[in-house]
Amino acid sequence: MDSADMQVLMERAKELECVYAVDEVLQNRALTLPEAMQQLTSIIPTGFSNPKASRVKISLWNQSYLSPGFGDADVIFRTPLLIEDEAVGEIACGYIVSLLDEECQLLNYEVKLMETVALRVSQLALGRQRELSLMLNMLRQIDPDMLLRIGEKLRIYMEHTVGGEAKLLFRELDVSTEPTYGEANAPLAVGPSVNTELLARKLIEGATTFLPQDTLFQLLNEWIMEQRILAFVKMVDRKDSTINDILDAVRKYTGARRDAPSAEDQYSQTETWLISELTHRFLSDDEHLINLVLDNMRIQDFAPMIERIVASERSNGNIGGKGSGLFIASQILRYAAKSDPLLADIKVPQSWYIAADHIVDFMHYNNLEELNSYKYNSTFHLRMTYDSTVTKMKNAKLPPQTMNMLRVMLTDLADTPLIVRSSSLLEDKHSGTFSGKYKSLFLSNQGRLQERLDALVDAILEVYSSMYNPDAIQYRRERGLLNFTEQMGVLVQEVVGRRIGRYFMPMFAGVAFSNNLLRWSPRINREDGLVRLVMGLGTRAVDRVSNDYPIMFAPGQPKLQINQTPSDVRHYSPKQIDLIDLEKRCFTTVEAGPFLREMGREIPGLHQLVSVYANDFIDNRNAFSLNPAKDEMIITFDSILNNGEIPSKIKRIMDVLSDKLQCPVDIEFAYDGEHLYLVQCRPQGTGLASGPAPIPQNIPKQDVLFTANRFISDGQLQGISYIVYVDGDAYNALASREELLAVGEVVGLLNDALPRRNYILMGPGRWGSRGDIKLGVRVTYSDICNTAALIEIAKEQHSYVPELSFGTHFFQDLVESGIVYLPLYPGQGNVVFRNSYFDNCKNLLGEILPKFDWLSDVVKVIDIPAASMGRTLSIHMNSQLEQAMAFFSKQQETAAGQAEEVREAVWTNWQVESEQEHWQWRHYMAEQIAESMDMERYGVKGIYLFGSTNTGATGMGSDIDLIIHSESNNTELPPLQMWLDGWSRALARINFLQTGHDTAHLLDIHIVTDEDIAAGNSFAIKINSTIDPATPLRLRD
Amino acid sequence: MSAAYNPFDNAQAQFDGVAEILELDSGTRELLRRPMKEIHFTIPVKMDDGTTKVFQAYRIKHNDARGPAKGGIRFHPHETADTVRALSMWMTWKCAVVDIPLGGGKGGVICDPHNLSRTEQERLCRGYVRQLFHLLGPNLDVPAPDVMTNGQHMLWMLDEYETISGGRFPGMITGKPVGMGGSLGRTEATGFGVVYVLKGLLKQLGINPADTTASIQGFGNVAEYAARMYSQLGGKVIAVSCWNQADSKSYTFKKAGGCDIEELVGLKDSFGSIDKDKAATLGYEILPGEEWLTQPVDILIPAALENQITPDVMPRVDQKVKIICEAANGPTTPDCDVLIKERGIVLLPDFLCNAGGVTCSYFEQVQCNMNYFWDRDEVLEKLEYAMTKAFDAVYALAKERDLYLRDAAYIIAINRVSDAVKLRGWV
Repeated sequence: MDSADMQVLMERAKELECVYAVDEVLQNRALTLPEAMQQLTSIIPTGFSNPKASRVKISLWNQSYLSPGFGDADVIFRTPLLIEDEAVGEIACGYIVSLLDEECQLLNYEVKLMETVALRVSQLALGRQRELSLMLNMLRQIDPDMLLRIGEKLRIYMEHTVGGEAKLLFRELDVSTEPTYGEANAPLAVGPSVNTELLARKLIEGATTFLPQDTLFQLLNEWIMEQRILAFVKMVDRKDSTINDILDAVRKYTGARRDAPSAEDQYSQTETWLISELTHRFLSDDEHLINLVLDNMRIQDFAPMIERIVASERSNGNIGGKGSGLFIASQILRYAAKSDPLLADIKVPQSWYIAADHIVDFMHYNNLEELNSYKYNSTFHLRMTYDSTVTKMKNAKLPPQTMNMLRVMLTDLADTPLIVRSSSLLEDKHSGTFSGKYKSLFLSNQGRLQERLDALVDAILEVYSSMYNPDAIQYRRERGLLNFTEQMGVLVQEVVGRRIGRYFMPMFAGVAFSNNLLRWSPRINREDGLVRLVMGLGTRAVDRVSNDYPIMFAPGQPKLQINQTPSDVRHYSPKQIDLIDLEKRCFTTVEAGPFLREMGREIPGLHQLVSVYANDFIDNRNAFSLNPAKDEMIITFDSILNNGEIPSKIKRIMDVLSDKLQCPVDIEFAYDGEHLYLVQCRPQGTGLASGPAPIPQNIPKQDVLFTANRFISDGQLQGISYIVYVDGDAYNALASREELLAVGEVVGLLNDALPRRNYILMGPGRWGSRGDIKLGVRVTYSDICNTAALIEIAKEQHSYVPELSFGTHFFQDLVESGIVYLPLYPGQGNVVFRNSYFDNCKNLLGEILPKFDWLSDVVKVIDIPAASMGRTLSIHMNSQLEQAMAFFSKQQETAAGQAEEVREAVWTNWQVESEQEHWQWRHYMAEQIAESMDMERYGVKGIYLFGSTNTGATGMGSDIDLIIHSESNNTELPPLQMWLDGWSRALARINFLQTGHDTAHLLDIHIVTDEDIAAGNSFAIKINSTIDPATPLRLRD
Repeated sequence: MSAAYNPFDNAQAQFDGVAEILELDSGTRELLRRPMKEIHFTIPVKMDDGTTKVFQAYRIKHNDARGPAKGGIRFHPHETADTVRALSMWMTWKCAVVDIPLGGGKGGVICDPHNLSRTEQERLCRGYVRQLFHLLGPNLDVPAPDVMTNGQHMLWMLDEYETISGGRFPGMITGKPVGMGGSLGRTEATGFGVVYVLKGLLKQLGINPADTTASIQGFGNVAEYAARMYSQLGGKVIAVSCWNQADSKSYTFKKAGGCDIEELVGLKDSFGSIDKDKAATLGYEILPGEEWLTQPVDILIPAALENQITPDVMPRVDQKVKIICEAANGPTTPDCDVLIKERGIVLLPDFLCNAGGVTCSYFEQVQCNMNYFWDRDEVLEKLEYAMTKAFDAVYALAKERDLYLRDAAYIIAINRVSDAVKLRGWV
């Protein structure tokens, strides 16, 4: 290659570099048009053969941009800038002759270069203008007001940032006339209205000239966003805007947000206000909840919820406590999941909401307004009329518009089974949980649309009518919520689960509490929580069911199991499963055994849910070796508790929620075989806030009514004056169901008659059981709401100890009302239970309720001060020590004084301590007998002590074994025996007063003679025996 | 329960009574009325939370003159040395009465398994074996499951033992699951054992089992297999009483023509309750629970609970009853014995009657030691032989000395042990 060719090539390379550089500048959106043009004036000359001497001038829209020293150059070429064939400027280039080494001609390729650059510049100018003009034009057409407002902002922005030039540009638009000085006394002349077309043109011109493209569009987007929010604000602010209006606004807003993703994480005050307003309207007016929503939700998150509200035109759309509780909880979890993989796949079932105020329209539509004042009736009246009220409600109709919306709902939810739950305004707030008082109903949701709709409507009406449930009204009366206008929302949820043959069920479901008040091991902390878990629908975990048991575990300590022996594990495993029968279209309960045998193969992961029981051994088989058709399967969830993530997931859910909600929570959950679903969340009641009470050690035995050492929570009661005691044996002996039910009725009437929180209720088995009435007195919460304590007695029957009411809705009622719950297991371990007290004290039942005098054998009402010398009953409970004690105390003083007194008492195991006392006292008394006996007179040669008092192993029922060594043929034996009999009776009485252990005699006397001793007869063998010899107390010689 | 009750005192008193009858010398008495060896030791266990807890444990060997000591390990929060002592003594007599070559022992750990996770329990079990390694073994002392321990605990203990010893010694412990050194036939053993003894008695009395009728209390494991075996012999079970979980009471199911045991088993739910509605449709008469003992049958088999036959109910026992077969532990109260004797009823004492379980444990040990496992029939055949032989000996003694069978059983057991200690030259 010769040098000329080389030269040409070098030139071409230079040109190419120049074009690239030009391109780069033109693509840079951060530059304003003038800045870009100015840079081009330095770049273009580099493409020429003699860059040093070359100079360029670009003219565009009356603006000129020059290379330095362009004035000295001789222009030798011009190329026009054309936009749509109209010349808007030109690029001129020339050489400064003095700088040229030799005379220079513009080369062909240099012309070509100039033309290319000109074309690019034209395109850029056009593009920028067009983009902006399109946008402004669209705005002008859609929303001229917005154009004006945005135009104004843009103009002010430009004038502010650019200054004079921009002002000049917009002068034409100025409508203000001559400035006036001083105060004008004539009205100001009205200027012509703004010419939007002109404004747009000016804006385009100004913006393209003065603003970098990026800045421009960012500004415009922000302003448009603000304008849209303004529309939204208007909509939300207007109290009469319908739910649809708001939904529309939320959607528009969401759309706008998508257009401006850069602003994702910056929230203006306006948006904060919006979220709080939306929360207020749809969810809750609780300040704390609103703050939570602000932390955990975006405006767009509302849309899926608002879309699914069924309500009238005028509704405000509040979805009620249960609905909003779950919705907020789900949002909290969703946000928490971003930084916590454990929460990543927690789901919430698809839900629809019937607004709480819909019931107003419903009542109006059916002329049922009279029911508004129903709640002010007496409880008695409520109970008498409840059934007819339900009938009335269930025969009513939903307004046609609602029916249409329900059709839409059913189409959306397809044919998955549904649960229809109450979601009232009062429900699930901190002030009280209406657990179990309002209804939840399962629907199979199978069949034709009309059938499904009929069933749904029926369920909704039933939920509505539960608002008039006497228990619910009673509960409200107690909590001072009666005057609150209660409105019943309805939550319609998909049932979590999967199809197993003809059935539909979750693999397991349950309820979890963040505070564990039922600790079966001192190693379980309150914060470890409590879960009640069952296979199938969670109803069996939530409700009290007789004859069956849920699996209970503490999610913080899942490995500390309640049941240890294989036979116990088997006995206390769930025996029944609640599920939905898709064929029969109903909620049903099946026996776990046959069901698992038949369906086991279809249940995914069955081996994780069940264990195999064989020959008193519990075996957790793997999926391969488990044979559902043959093995005896028991539901234990062993693999899940010991290996899986489920316990920690549940724990984490509760931790996150209770942390955010700032209170312990109570959640319901279900597992469909793949995902864990949260199906309900509400605050857990915390009535028993009191700490552990010291167990006094200095209480004499006869002053103790009972002690307990299992499942003890914390707290204390003072000054209890009455006991209502239901005798377990007598209750069991009642012949008819009617008589058994009457006991519940009596308890309810006593609840009204006795002073509130001044009596305790004691009785056998499971209070309030809705199953077998023999298992416990049939009462509802309203029948026991005034008691200070509910004490369930599990008296061992044969080898069976009845299960007491472990954590149920009923239990929650007690906890929330501060009613102490205490289980007693008389006869198990070292516990005191003074049956005699209940048998011997005067029964007031006949006086209080003469009509029920015939139940006096079963129900005993004891006036404690009258029966116990003016003293009252105190109950102290200490969960750390796992001890509780009820004792009679003289002091009627305040709780504070009482606490002071017992704090001084020694905290030790008083039981063991007093065993020592039994022995010492007996030994001392035996010595006293020996000392005071006139041995000569009675012909006694020696007195010996043997047996338990001698060995120091006595209890409160032990007697004192004495051997009296008498002379042979002793005629003084009868008076001696009489003398000893007096001692025996007196000591027995003292023993009774000390311990409450009632016996007629305390001495066990064995009289032996010399002959007996010589022959080693009967007890004589004890004297001089090498094994356990009797101790001589006194010998005559 | 009064705190004064001391099981060891009781056990000693019972022994003293028999020692008196046997006129044992004082050396033998001294030796047999207390355990030969007691180990009180502690087990440190690393808990799941990283802390260490120390548990008090015991292993007490009452007597091993007749063979390696045998007895369970109890996990109980209120365990006491006296309880373990008493139970170890009981084991000595129990093994002796069925004439199996084993001595008596018992162990315990003061702990509440409710407070222990499974892994902690495993470490506790392994700790127990580590502390006691030199005193355990197939030829020394053979533990078994007891209160709050089960096959799983036994497997952990076995594994620890074998790890330390460096070999396989499945006979070191019993109560293992089948396939892991457990014996077939264990489920049936106690119930069948009851009837083998009964069969022996009927043979001695010259009564054909097929001509007899029986009424059974309970329908748990023991009762069910007793009923099956009894029916198999041709006997007719007229009535079965059974606890009903749902009603919290028991019912007696009666069929004068004889119950079909398999049919009744088919009506059992997972709580062990017989479905009374279904039973009624199958022609069973449903009577109150306690009616089982008033039935006009030849044999009463209380196989459920303690203290069922008391002086109060004795008059209600039908005059036809000839035999009471104590399948449960202590179903007749001691003060009833005199009334039973008066009526001329033969009582088969629990001690002998329900020893099928311990005999089967012994078979498990034997099979493990030879590492060859019998099929179920072979186990049951050997069980029948052992039980029959044990009964015959007790019966012969009772007949010869005109003793109540309960007394004869104790006497024979204690006598066997005293012979053994004497022959060994210990006393």
